[in-house]
Amino acid sequence: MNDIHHSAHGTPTRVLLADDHAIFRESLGVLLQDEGFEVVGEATDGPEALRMAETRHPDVAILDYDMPLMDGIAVARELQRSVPEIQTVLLTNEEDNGSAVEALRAGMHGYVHKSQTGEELVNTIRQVARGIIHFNTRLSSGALSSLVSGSEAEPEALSEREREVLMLIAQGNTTRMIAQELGLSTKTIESHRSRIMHKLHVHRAAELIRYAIRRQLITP
Amino acid sequence: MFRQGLKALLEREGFDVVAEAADGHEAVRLARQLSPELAVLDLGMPLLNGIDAAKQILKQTAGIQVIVLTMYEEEAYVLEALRAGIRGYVLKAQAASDLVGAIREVGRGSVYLSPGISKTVVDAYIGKSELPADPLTDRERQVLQLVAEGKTTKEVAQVLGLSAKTADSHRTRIMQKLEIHDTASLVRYAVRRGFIKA
Repeated sequence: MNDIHHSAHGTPTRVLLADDHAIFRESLGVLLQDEGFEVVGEATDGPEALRMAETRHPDVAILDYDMPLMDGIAVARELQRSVPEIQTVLLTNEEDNGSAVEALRAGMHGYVHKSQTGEELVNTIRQVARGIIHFNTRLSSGALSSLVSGSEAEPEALSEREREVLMLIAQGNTTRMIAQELGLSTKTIESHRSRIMHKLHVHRAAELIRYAIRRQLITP
Repeated sequence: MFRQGLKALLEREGFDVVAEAADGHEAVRLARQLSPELAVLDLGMPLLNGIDAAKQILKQTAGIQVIVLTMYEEEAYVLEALRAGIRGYVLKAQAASDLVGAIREVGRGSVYLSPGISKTVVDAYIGKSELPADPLTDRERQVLQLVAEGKTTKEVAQVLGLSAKTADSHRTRIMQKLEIHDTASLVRYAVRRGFIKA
């Protein structure tokens, strides 16, 4: 038996879907319709999402992070300014949850990873529609406290030196070579390496490389 | 969530979705157990990508067809898919109706490529143009993906059902063939060739 969700006015919750992969958008649409949501629009990119949100006034806008022209967080930021009553949920495929902090800062209300189930998405939308902030991710206490204190500096950011070491690692240099290059001991390089992995919440060396590629510190 | 929605969508079109898999190995296993007429695979799956999964599926079940779903429209990927025996190549940017059309076409025995895939690709395939042969064997490709995903040699061995020694010698062979000497460069190669995404 489908659990129909109704807003305070007794009508189905109205949602807007924004994702540049049409087939994914349509699949989500079917899923949400089956759960009793009303899909008021589907957008292919950020600007279109913005336009549709401003004209069709959904209760919740579900925004893909990785959209061309304008990403989901940028859209949310704009909506916060123009139509703050619209709740926003970020949908992401990112491996690390760096976007979660950014999303929170932008005033977004929900965060769901695409690998999660339809039920988890639906639950998030329902919570968010009620005005509850629902992030399906672990935010480190450091990230949260910097958010709360309003400080610009993210404690999880890599230092200049750490970035340097990361790049050298990603380029395929051995610890010994990096030590030589930077005029440091191998022990120091080892501890930089483990500090970097700790900060990036990465457990395998291979993931460091992928992080470096994602952040465009090196080309693949 | 994508799989769930897609399943609902395909069932609305009258197809019978017999199973869902979260990675390439699961896909191969389920295809072997359930013998569907058709398998729709994401090109970029963890543990075993769509191309390599397709090769195994096509080898183990007579008469089965494979369609891949992907965001990549580059000629190299399309040709690689066609060469692996994949009959449908569908872009995620296209609407669901495109996949539905692909399933019907492939089911009829045709090859289907999404609109947006350049005609030159088809011509190249028909003309069997010279694409450099893949330097790696199928098994080596499978090992490469797992190594690039960060698996230890022991884990690679476990996933593929090999001895640690065999897995290790595959890894060495790969690095020799590709003239790559460190894991970082191996990962970069894997990202470049689409085995994994960054």
